Amino acid sequence: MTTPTAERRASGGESRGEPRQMLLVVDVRTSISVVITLLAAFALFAVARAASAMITLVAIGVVLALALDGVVRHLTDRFEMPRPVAVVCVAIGLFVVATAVMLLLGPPAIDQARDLGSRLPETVREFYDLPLVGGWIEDADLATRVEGWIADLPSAVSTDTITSSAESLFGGAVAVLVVVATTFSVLLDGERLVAIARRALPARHRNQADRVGRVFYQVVGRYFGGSLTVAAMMGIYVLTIALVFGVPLAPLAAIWAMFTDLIPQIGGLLGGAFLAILALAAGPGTAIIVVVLFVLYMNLENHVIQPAVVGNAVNLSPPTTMLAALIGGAAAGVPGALVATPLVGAVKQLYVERRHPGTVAERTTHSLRDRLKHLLRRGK
Amino acid sequence: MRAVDGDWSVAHIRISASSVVLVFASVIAAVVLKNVFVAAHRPIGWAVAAALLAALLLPAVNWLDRYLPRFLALLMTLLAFGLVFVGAWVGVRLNIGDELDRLKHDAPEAAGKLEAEHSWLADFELSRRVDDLIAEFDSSTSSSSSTAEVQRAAGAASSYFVSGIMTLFFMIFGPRIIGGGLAQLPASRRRRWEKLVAGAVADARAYASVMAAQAVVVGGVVGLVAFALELPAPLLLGLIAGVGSILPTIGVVIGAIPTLLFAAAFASSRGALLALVVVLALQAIEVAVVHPVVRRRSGDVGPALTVIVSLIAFELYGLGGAVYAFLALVLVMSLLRRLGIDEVAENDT
Repeated sequence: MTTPTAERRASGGESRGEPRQMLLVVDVRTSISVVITLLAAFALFAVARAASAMITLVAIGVVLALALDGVVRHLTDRFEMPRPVAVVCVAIGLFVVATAVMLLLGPPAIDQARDLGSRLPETVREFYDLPLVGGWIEDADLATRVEGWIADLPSAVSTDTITSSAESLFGGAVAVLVVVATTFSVLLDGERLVAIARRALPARHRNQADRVGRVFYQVVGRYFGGSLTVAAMMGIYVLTIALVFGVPLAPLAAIWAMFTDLIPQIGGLLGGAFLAILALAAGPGTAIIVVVLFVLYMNLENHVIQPAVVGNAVNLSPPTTMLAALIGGAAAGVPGALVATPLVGAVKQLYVERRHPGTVAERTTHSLRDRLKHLLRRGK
Repeated sequence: MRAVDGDWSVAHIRISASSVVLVFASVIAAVVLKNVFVAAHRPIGWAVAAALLAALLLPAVNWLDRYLPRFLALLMTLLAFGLVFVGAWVGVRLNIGDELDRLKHDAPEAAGKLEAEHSWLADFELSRRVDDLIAEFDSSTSSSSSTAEVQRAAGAASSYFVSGIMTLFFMIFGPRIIGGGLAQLPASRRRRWEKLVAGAVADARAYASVMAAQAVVVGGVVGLVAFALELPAPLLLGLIAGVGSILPTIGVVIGAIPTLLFAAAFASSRGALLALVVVLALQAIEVAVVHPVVRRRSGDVGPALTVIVSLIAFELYGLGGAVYAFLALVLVMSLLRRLGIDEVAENDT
């Protein structure tokens, strides 16, 4: 605690090398400031703890707004349209895409879920021919057990399960509405709020605040914008191969692969594992083909698509990325795992710029063609 | 201790006894105050809400004061506000009750028809499950649980009564309290701050009044459309649309989403299209006409802060908390806007 006043008491006959003596006196205004600061900190902490679920949804909305801001800027720069109009265009575009996805994927998903019940026992019988495990599966009469389990399923669903499922569904719909409202509110109003916050700062701190804000915007916005694009591409790819090879619940597998693709390091494994399990229901041969195609695409994504789209927005080594995701996930669940990597990347970039001003290279992306050329050249 | 060579020097620092006491007292005071605030957060919330409501209603009191004794003007204003609030609440409750009764009557019949059309629903025993759900709902609202309902209602009534008394007190004593607070400032700054506070309160009042009027109009129009299309719970749909319209620029559409979804599910395609056109027209009027006028007169709160503050307040204190948090935000933004205009030159020099 610093003091506004200090008395220096010189010891008699002070000579060079003798320690100085200082008397610190804390005044009342300082202590009042301390009390107010502590109260404000307690209040913030209490609000964050009590409203953590809503704050998480709001944070997701803000991050999505950062990711979509690039698209809005592109529209305003390219077509010289006012920002609100560009935001409305983005909103309409996303609404059309979401509706098309629901209309195209919803009915087939429901049909496949219904067919799964009749197809699953036959598929399990096909496993009887597998080497090593086939005999064990046949001895356990797994196909008959699966038939019995499917027949008993309707009676196993209780009224409480239905009620809680309905509540979850309603809660999920409200959460989506909250995220959408926050995203488009921040897209409309974000620039103005940043200007207000900037104006509230003392003039001597504004340049530094601008630098920090720019780094966070570039790292977080570019990372999430690029990651969402790459994840959407993964979803489309999984949907395509699943439909081509008759994998049941293809839309569900595609949506799962799309969401898990956002998780660094382990996302691909999670997405591929679920797809492989579903592909097994279509037959072991189909499962092998689908897994091989998935692994091939994963490599293409890691070495070509991701560097081209996301680039080195974050610039962290793989173990650092993985550790950040694991710590973020342990602290704040899936949202924590997703934001941990770009946050750590932003902090790193700020530190490097502070220690060595001007040495951080401009963040670049390589075009898809350049990445492919680089890969092929390396292979020779 | 001896001084060492190089850039470092040694200093003995002694903290005075009074400073140590003050530091400990500050920390203890902060902890005690924090515990007091946590324990008393509800009455403190009532006081804040009452102060905001008093600031909003005072112009109506001043207008009535021209024709009636002041105390009567105060009581009548508060009573009118209370009647509007209670009327809306009772109306919505009755509306929901009617719709639930209609659902309880129609659901078993609809379940039977669905079972006849889809065999997998018959396997799922849909009719029996719907009957079980209705029976469970009826038992949860039976006489044994109505005691808890009465206790909850009594608790809510006492909260509103205390808040009403506080609002009355703030309407009577509020200007004196604010004047007394401003009187603590040095004379050189008092005049400026009096102008700032008065201006910010006037701006916030104008903004909140326009938003309230807009909410009533939007809620009324959407409710009428829902009623015309025979959608379930039209009063509630109108209320949601009205509350949502408080959000600038996108609020009318956001608030009308439940209406549009219900129209898509229950009304004809022409009816759903009509609902969409009406909502978009209302939003266009808000963006093109209402919002620019409000912004010129009272500044712009913006949708982002409104959404974030209202959502967090809703999570903490429910719908009432969200509304009062919005009012507090409007007041704070009005004050900051007035401060920003005056102080931007100082900061930039």
